[in-house]
Amino acid sequence: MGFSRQDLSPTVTHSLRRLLHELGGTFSHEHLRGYIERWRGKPLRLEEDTMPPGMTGYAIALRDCDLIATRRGLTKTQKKITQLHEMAHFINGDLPLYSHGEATAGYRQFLRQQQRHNDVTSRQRFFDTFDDMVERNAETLARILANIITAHAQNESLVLSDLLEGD
Amino acid sequence: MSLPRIVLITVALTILVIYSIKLRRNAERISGNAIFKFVLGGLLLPLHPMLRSVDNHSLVIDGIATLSQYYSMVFVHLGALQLRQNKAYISITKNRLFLWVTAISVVMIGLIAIDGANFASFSDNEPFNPTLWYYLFYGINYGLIFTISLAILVTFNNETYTHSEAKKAIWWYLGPLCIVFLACGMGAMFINVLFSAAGNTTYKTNLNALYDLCKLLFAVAFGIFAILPLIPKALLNRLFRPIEQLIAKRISTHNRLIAQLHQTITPLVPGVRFDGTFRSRDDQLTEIADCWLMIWTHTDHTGYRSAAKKAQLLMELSHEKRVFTDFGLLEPPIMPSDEIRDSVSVAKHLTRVGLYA
Repeated sequence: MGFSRQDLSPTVTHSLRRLLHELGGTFSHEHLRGYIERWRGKPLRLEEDTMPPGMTGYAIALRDCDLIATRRGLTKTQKKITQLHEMAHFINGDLPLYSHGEATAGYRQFLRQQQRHNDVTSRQRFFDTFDDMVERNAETLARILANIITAHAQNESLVLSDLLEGD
Repeated sequence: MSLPRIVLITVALTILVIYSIKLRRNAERISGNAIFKFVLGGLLLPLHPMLRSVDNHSLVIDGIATLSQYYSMVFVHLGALQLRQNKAYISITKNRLFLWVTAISVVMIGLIAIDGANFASFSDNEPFNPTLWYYLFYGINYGLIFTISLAILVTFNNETYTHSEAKKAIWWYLGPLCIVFLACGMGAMFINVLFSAAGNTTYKTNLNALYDLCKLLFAVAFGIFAILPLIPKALLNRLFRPIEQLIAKRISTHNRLIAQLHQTITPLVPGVRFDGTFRSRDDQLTEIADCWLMIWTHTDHTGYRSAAKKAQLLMELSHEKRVFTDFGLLEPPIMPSDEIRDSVSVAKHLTRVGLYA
């Protein structure tokens, strides 16, 4: 995979240990989403949104749901990694239950705001983002999660084929 | 009997025989009941063209010919469904498709009864009396055949054979291909019936020929599709080894080209590189796409739609030693849906112009 234990920060190691305990060695994207929803006690919406140049995705903890939005028109891999990056923020505990405390908007109210991209946790790749430890941890976790999900899909397919094709 | 019909029946009977032998050999509890359905379908299958070719058309003959066509397909579908669901028994009379077909068959028999012996096969260019009942009969007939064929196709589709790249390719291409042939054939016949009902018979022969061709292609594609799971694993692996090797070689070439493109493009946007190293192909593809996003906020993308143009732009930016550290004001375009093909094409162009050794 390319990561060694020494590369991982305590935050990422802690998140991975929790995931291993809760979901096992490999898991699907849906399992991961379900885990975040259970953990935070509200639905996690994955959507697309228009956003300023440079921003590929954002996450925000709203009153009635958590929202992850990716930029419209990304490539499949870019979208997958961006979603995982934002999910990693939730798993690492970077976002509180409500992003703006008592003033946090609900989903519908948030979408009506013109300037909604200003106060969100966003994945912007072009300001030496990865010098920021929080962003670096989220990106590290996202890339590990991508590998785990790929391995899960491959293993599942192998197990099924061995079971059903073995005659 | 026409060639497509002979091929169709031969392919169908071969599949049924192989399925039955395989089931018997496995001596599974499931086999008896599933074989019964396959045998029933196999017996009814040739009845339709045989009865159609007789000179004397009557309500009984046309009725049996029509019903045998539908029920042969329904029984094959039920046999396959039983295999798919790994059930020892599936009731024929409680199956929804069977009940639908039975209900529509009653309507079809009614239409035959109303119009007497006027049911010369529409697709065989035989002379017929163009009545409303005749067109109604063939309109419903093709709709029903399309529905049952689609049900059979979906039932035969087995996703457990997708772990190998070659087999995956076969399933991915053959399944949709069967649907395309089926839709084209049935579409041609629907248009043909509509045209004919409106008094335009100019294209009747051509549309019938298209229908026959689609039927033939469907039979061949579906034959391969259905027989694949019955071939022993060892033989299948041996058969697919050359294709597996070709695919592995192709993937390896793609990976090399993507890595080269990654090495070319990321110095232009150093901010996208995570740890300055690349770890997997997905990481490289993400970083390549991030680079393009950044570049398109500075460069009007409309002039760089083709891979050749994109390669040329990269060459120019590399020669100018441009480095993007902040995004521009332009709105980036929708990124390519097939990012691997796009990246590989750009890298190939860069190879052609001699950027890579």
